[in-house]
Formats: sequence, structure tokens, C-alpha cells
Amino acid sequence: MNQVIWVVLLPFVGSVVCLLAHRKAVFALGMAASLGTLIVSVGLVAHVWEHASARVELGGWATPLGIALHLDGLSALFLLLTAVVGVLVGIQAGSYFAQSPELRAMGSRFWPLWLLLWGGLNGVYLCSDVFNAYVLLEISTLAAVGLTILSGSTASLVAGLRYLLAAMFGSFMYLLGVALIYAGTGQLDFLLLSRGVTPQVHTLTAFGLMVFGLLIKSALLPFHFWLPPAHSSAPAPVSAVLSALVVKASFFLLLKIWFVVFESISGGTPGGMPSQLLGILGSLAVFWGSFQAVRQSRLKLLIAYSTVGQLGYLFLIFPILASPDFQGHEALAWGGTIFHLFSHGLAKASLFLAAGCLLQAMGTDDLHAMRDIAGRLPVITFSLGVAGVSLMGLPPSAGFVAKWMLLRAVLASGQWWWAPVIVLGGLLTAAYVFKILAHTFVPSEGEALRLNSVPLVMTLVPLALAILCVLMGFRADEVIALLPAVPHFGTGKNGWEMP
Amino acid sequence: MNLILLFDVFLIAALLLVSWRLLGASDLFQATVLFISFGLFLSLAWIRLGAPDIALAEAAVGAGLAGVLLFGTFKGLEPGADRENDSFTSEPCRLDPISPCPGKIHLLLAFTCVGSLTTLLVLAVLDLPATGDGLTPMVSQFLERSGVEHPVTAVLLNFRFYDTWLELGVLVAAVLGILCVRNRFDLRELKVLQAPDVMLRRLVMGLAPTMALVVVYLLWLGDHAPGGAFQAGVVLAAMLVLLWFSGHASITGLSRMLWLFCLIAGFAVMLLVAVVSALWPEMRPLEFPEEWSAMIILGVEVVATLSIGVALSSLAILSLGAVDDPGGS
Amino acid sequence: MQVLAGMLCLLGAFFFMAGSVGVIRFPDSLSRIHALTKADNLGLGFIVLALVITSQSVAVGLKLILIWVLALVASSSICFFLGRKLIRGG
Repeated sequence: MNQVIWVVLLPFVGSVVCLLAHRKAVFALGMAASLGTLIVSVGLVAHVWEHASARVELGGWATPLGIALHLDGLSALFLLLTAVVGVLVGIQAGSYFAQSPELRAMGSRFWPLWLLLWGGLNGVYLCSDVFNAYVLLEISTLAAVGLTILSGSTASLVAGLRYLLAAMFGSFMYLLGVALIYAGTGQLDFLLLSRGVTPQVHTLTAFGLMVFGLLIKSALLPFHFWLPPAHSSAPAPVSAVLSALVVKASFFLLLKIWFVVFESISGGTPGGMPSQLLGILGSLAVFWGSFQAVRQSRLKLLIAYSTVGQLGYLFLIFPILASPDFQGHEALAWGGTIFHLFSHGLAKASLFLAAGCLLQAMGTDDLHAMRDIAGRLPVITFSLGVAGVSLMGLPPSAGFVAKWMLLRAVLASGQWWWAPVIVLGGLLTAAYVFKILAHTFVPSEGEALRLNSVPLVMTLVPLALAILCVLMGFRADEVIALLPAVPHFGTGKNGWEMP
Repeated sequence: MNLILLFDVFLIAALLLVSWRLLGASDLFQATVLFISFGLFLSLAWIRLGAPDIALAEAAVGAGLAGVLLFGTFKGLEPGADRENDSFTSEPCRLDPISPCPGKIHLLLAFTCVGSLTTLLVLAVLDLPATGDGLTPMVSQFLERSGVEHPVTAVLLNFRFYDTWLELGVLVAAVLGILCVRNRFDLRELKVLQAPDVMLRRLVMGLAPTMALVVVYLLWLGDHAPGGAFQAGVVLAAMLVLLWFSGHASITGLSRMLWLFCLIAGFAVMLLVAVVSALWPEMRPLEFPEEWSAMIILGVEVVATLSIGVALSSLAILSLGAVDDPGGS
Repeated sequence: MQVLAGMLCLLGAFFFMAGSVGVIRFPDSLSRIHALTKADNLGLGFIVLALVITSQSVAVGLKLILIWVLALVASSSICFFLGRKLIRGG
């Protein structure tokens, strides 16, 4: 299983080559690295499909001493999502950054940073070591902040600095937790830790600090303040990557920390108080984020606030799985969460890329300026609509499958009070999606806004992402079939022992 | 024994006092100076805790480099030549100039949070098992197979090669980020604000060879004693910044390509090791044969020193330097 | 030898003390710099000498002397820069 490492190596090789390459060759080289990574990622998904999980000990040093890579169903799915979004965003970036000399210069910075970020994200999905995870988060954060401030505008610098400070604070909290847990147990590896952790003051503190740090990085409600400005002020391909992938990486790590490393603590607390708290914060995020999204009058800010809301759904998995009378429906909860992750990732990337096209065509992303866009830019409007349908959770999109599975899991766990969150959240989402679409259909009064031309590729990529999002709704069975290969999850009282 | 205890008590008192004064300082210049002295006291504390590697890094990076960067920032914030009467509190205090300044309630909230976090940490540390060696016994057990004699170097460049490699990637990402902030592609044309001074030129000319010697010494020391690429790289960075500051040839003279090459070399060489080991049929990824490990580690350390030196000095030069000519300020 | 080293240390400490008192008591910046650099360099010299005569090997002794020389160079040039800045008015 040595080819696991290639999903980390290939983007890094691409990053180094793009940094040194001539400006004109950067796109081709970057795309080559992206496609290579996509192929390896697909190969890894196939491997997990056939043989379940895999583990590689780096440098040939056995785990307590060295670092291991761990590939399971969950990491394979995250790798796949990242690769699909990554390649499509890369295609978009190719034409986005080719339009003017200034943008071309920006593109020569975009590719090294983006590939560095991609390698870091893939590393996070494979990581099996709490300290290694910190280093990987660090590299992804710095690359992501670099991408945020790519344009160098004052707004993006302010947003980027805020993002940097929040993310650094999160990393620092996480690192404090790592130091405590290492001092307490002498282990860093996920699996070895999961056997060694017992509920004591220092392990509980470590757990709290690590979770706290990761919550800041995944922008759960009270810690979401950095997300909307950062995601809305970056160039369109960067916004797509940040919203679709980067926040998900810290959520991935949160899942691993919660359900693997501290399984004995998070699974064993009576009543699952911390899990319920996360569920409540997630629900508040759904309402607050969607509400703020409805109030925005700038398209990119609206989409960014929508990310805050949609991320909230992910946190429902914690109370669902903590339920004491929850029998054998884990697959539903996992399936719903992962489907939501996928559908949101694809839909949000599509929305941000489409918003980028609109911004370029109109020169502004003010919703009120979007008059008669539906008739004049039909492809972009169609992408906005299709991606919006998936966000709302209407059939037959992937978003529908996700919300349906989450609803069933919520009901099966006997915690009916989360059900209104899912339904009302969907309604609020519908409100802001219709707000976007309604503006596009308003006929223009008097003189029509002069539109700049947008390259054809740039309008097709968001469409492809939106269509993928719908198509995934038809392929629910395969994803669910991959999920039992999510090993080492829920090995405790729920008895969902994986091969 | 009691004298040592007395020293420790003084050290802790000094750390607390300096950090308290630092937080209370209303003058940014004073705060910067206090921050540097805090770093120096902290490195003494690391020595007392038996971690000379961290002490070296803290003194060099925490006090030295961070101090330079803070002074650079201070210089950028300074409104006029005289800073007699202006206190910086009247400036907008938030990133976002529209938001209001933090009031009493914010401070109270912050103190409560910090206080409870401190209490929690103290409780957690008291709760730690007394006999926690961590992985130290294991490291010494496998030390002879690692190719070096110093356990820290063995961990950094063999057992946890992956982490160190990624850390070099972090440095590269940081430099790329600063390039975005300054909207630049290389370091050429970045100049010091004041004209270089003859006395300083002579002094740096005399010091530079000694610094180069220290770089090599620290690098070589890493094999069997505290030292190694990170510490040597910081000294190299200090040398490069001093050379630049006094108007000598430094990395600002390099062409874009050559500079990028030096910057990325450490990360790229480790990447090369990773690629070769991943392609090698009988090897695990990032594994290298035992008989070559000493050579590989030395080679990686030499290149990493260069990259760390160039990266850190680029950070300093990018934040201190200006494109316009001396009269422009 | 130990006694000699101890006395040298005390002598060094005295000069450091004198330097510090000077910094506090002297009226203006120029004389403060003077107190700091002159007295402290001498104090450091005595302490280094004490360490040299008690050190185990020649290599360690030479390194200590090198440290002293470097400190001398650094402090005297910083003294010069500060002094010049003060005289030129800054």
C-alpha cells in the first residue's frame, strides 16, 4: 500500500515545480499534478472498496516511534471530494488567471500555494498522529491564508489577517492539548492513544483543548466570525476551495479525535453532554448562518454565510451517535453526514465559481445589480439554480439524500428535537437561494448593464460541479457501500466493529 | 542545590514580571523591548528544564527574529520621526476600523477566559503521571540505527522525518504569504531605509566570517549535541539580514530563480528523498537504508540550513525593506 | 585555583554592579552608555577569566575568550552607534 503517500507527494512535487516554472507553463504543470493526484485518489478509493483500510508506517519505523499513514473509507471519500473539486477548480483557475497580466501574475502565486494546500489537506485525511496532524493543519492554514490574500487588496488583507489570527489561536489550543496528552500517555498515534486514554483530569483537558481548537478552525457558530470576510474577499477559485474543502479538513480531524482518539471519553459520558452541546451549536449555526445569508445583499458574502449555516448540519452527527438507545443505525448517520459534506462541497464550489463569473461579467456582486441575468447569462444562472437546489435538499440532488438520511438517523436515535432543525434549515436555505434567483429574473429597467465577456470554460465548470452534485444523488448506494469501510469508528458500545 | 532553587524562583519571578509589564505597556516600542527580554528569560527557563535545543531556538527565533520583525512592524506603524507624544491607543484598535474598541466588558471576559484556562491547565499538569518518560527510552533504544548520535536530531531527521519535511513546507508557505502581502515576486530592489553606514559596514564585514563559522559549527554539532539545521539556519538568517542591512551583498542580490531555488531547496530535497523512497521497490515511503542514513541526514541538514536561513532572512527583509529610495520616508 | 576564580567572579560582579548603579544614577544617556559598556565589559572579562582558569580543556577556554571578544566588539560598536545618534540629535 505504498502508493498512499503519492496523494501527498504529487501535489507537493507540483507545488515545487510550479514555483520554479515559467509563468506560461504553470497552468499545464499544475494541471498535470492535479490530474495525477485525482488518478491516485481514485485508485485509493478503489483499494478501500476492495480491501478495506490500509496502514503505512513511514520510514519503516513502527508506530510509537515513527509516524503512520492511515487510509480508511472516510479518508478515501475525503480524498475523492478534494480531488474532484481540486481538478475542476484547477480548470477554472486556468482560464480565470489567464485573463490579464495582473491575473496571470496572481496565478503564478496561486498554483504553488494551492498545490501546497492540497498536499496538506490530503495529509490531514491520511494522518494518524496527533502532532503530525498539527503540522499538517499548520501548512494548510498558512497556504490557505496566503491564497486568501492573493489579490493583495485591503479588504482581503484584513480578512486574511483575521483568518490567520483565529486559525493560529485554534492551532495553539490544539497543540496545548497534544502536549498534555503526550505528557500523560507518552503516545501520539491515534490508535495507540485510543487504547491508552482513560477519563482523567489531564486527558479531559487535552480533549477539550483539542476539540476547542478544531471547532475554531471549522468555524462552528460562535467561532465563525473569521469565515465570511475571508471566504468572500478571496478570488473566486480560492473561495471555492476554502469553502468546499479547507473547513472540512479540520472537521475531518475533529471526527477522528472525537470518535477514534477519545472514543472512551466521548462515547462514555453519561447523557453525552458535550455531544449535545455540539449539536446545539450546530443547530444555532444552521439558523444564524442561513438567517445572515438571507440578509446579505452581496452575492459572495451570502454564499459565505451559507457555508456557516451548512457546516452546522455536520455537527448533528455528534448527538446522534451519542444516543444511548441508538441501535444499528450508525451507517445512516455517517452516510447522511458524509453525503452532506460531499453535496455541500460540490454545490458550494459551484456557487462560488458561478459567483466569480457573475462578478467578472457585471463588475460587482451586488444582488440588486443582477437584473435580467437569467436571460443573458443562462448557463451561470442555471448552475446557481442547480447548486441551490442541492443546498436546499430538494430531490433528486445529493443534498436531498443527505438530509433524508440525517432525518432518518435523527428519528432512529430517538432525538426528534433535531428534526425541525433539518427541516427549518432547509426552508431558510430555500429563502436565500430564491433570493439569488429572484434577482436574476427581474427584467432590467431602461438601460441594461453592460456585461463583460466570460470565457466559456469558466461558465462550464460551475455547471459541471452542480450537475455532479445532482448525479451523486443517484449514486447513493455506492457511497453507502463504501462507508462500512470506515474502520475504527464507533468501536465502542455501539458495537459497530469494522473489519 | 538551594542556590539553584533560588535562581529558579528568580527566573519565574522575572518571567511573570516581564510578561505583566509587557501586557500593561501602552508604548509599542517598550512592549517590543520587553517581548525580546521575555524571550531571553524564557530560553533560560528552557535551559533549566534541560532542553538546550529549545533554548537555542527560543533565543534565536523567539527573541531574535521575532524581535526584528516586531521592530520592523513598529517602524512601519510609527507615524512621524518623533514619537514623543503619540500614544498608539488613539489609533483604531481593531483590524476592522469600523468595529468599536474593546471595552471593560471585553477585558473582563478575556480575563475570565484566561483565568479559567490557566486554572484548568494547572489542574491538568498536577494530574499528569509523575513517571512520564514518553518515547524517550524508545528513541535511545533505536538511536544507533538512526545514523546520528543526538536523540533530537534522530527524531527530527529520521524517526519523524515527515514532520520536519512538512515544517519546511510551512516556512515556504509563510514566505509565499508575505510575498502576497507585499505584492512582490522576489527580493530584488528591496532596500534599507537609511543609507548604510561605514562603521556598520566594517563591523558586519568583520563579524560575518565568525557567523559563518558558527553556522557550520552548529550544523556539525547537530550530529551528536544540541544544534542542527534549525539553529544553524537562524544564525545564517541573522548573518544574511545583517549583510543586507549594512549594504553588503546578500540574498537581495540573487536573481528571482536563484533565490526561489535556495528557498525551496530544503523542502525539495526532502521531497526528493520521499519520492525516491516511494519508488524504490523494497522500501517504505520515507525510509532510507541504514548504511546511508548518516550521509542522507547530513545532506538534508546542509540544504535545510540554507533554506531556513534564506526563508527567515527573506521574511525579515520583506517586512523591513522598502522599494523607494532613502528620501521617501 | 578555585579561590582565585571565586575572587575574580566577585570582582566581575562588582564591576557589573558599578555599571548598573551608573545606569541608574548618571544624569544623561551618554554617560549611562559609558557606564554600561565600560564597566560591564570589564566585569564580563573577569568572569570569563574565572571560568577560563577553572575550565577543563583548552578548547572550552578558547571558546569562552571568543565569547568575550565578540561581546566586546558588539557592545563597543553599539555604544558608538548610540552615542553618535545622541550627539547628532535624534
